[in-house]
Amino acid sequence: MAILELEAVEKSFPARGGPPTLAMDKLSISVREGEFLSILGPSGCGKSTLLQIAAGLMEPSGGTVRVAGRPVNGPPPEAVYVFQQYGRSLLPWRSVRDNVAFAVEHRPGMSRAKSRAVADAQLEAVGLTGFGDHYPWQLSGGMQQRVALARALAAEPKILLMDEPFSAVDALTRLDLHRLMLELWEKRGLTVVLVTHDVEEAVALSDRVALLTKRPSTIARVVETGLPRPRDAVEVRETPRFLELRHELLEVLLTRGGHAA
Amino acid sequence: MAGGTIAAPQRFRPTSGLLLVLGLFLLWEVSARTGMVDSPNWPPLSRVLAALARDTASGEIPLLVGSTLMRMFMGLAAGTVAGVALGLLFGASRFAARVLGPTVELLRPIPIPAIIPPLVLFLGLDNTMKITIAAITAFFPVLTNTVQGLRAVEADQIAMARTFGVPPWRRLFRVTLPAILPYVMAGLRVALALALVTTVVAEMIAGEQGVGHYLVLMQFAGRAEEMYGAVLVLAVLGYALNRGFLAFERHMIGWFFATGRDG
Repeated sequence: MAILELEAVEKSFPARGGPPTLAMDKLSISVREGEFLSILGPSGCGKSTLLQIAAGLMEPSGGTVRVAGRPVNGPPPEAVYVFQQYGRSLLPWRSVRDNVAFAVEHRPGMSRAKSRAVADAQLEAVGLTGFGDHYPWQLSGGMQQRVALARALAAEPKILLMDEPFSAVDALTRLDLHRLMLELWEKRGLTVVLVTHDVEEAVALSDRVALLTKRPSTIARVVETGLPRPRDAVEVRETPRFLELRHELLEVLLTRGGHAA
Repeated sequence: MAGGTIAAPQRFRPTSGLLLVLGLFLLWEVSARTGMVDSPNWPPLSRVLAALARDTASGEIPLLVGSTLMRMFMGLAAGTVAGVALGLLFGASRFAARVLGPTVELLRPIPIPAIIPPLVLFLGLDNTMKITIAAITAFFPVLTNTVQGLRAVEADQIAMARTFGVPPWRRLFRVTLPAILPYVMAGLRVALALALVTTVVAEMIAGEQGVGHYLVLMQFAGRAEEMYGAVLVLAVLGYALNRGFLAFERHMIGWFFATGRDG
């Protein structure tokens, strides 16, 4: 069953002294409930735009977006958007615990004690027990991204929309976060839509990988990875199927002139 | 960035600076006592301090300082609220910024003491006039900094609040206002120094109470000791206000300095 559907979604941006530029052209994709879908594409192809439209943070110029069958206008309660620049979306004047509590503290019937208890539980889930009283800027990049993840999980979303969430950390931290991500996805039955330009990341984590074209972007093709579950983020990289997919997708991206320069 | 991290040669500065102050005080005392400056308007420092001690003990000076500070802080509070509110309006509506912007730019350069005489005609000599003066003093720097702060707010922080379904008013109070607080505080720091000046000037021009009025009164009465005493009180007050504000700022927006966003 589709939990998130984009149907013929278009987005154009106003251009100075000319007709508006078309950034996204009749893009359609249907995300199944409980799946891990990656959207892969060259930089500047409008991956973030797509995700923000899905999150109800940006209005499409045409087409429809439906979450759980309802048309989206404004952020739907089922979905939470995780930002690429964790450093910018965390609130530096709040402690780590209060940053996580921010996701739920506005909800009716949520006392301060209750929201903090929720926060502590989520911090434990991402391996940050004991860091609640720290401030985000006292933590490393990888830890800050864990805080952002804990905050997203605190809202108990059905869908996580993740915008290149692991692109700003070093390779080892990234693998560490991949493992955490797989663990959380398996445990909580989340639907994840992950936007990335990292082919290996997309293949290692996903059930399906959707390839985006250059601007005006649309879905070029969707590949089922068929990799086993549960899987380990490191071991999966050594399987023949992983290597085959990596080769295939890189080939496509490179021949299509993925890089604008 | 933080104070007190300066290396060795600087260590002697506070002491030598303080020595100069003490030396000048001594020169004051000696020049008045030995007749280097022979004028009834130049009493020795010791007599100024004695008069000051007497009037402080009698409660007169604390009362004057209290009334000046009360007016100044009430004005600062009102001006800050108005400056932040208009700044938010400018940030929210380009139309408002376009319509009101030129008026603000035209009013801003007017020296605030110049508004006192016309303001007296409308508001009289009472507290209202002086509080209004302090409010106008705070208004412009706070407005400018609010607008500047809004430009610096991370769009991701607002979008983040939206994705969690945080309603608009809560977004304003829990994200936007805390985010611009460092900028508002910087405006307030400028305003604080100016407001002491404008409040005292207002009291001097149209006074019934306050340190400014006392100062002028003592000058007219030819009581030089009390007059210099009031000047000293204002000097100490200005210094203490600035010091106090810096501590308050560190307390309120320590995160801002810690994240190096001021650099």
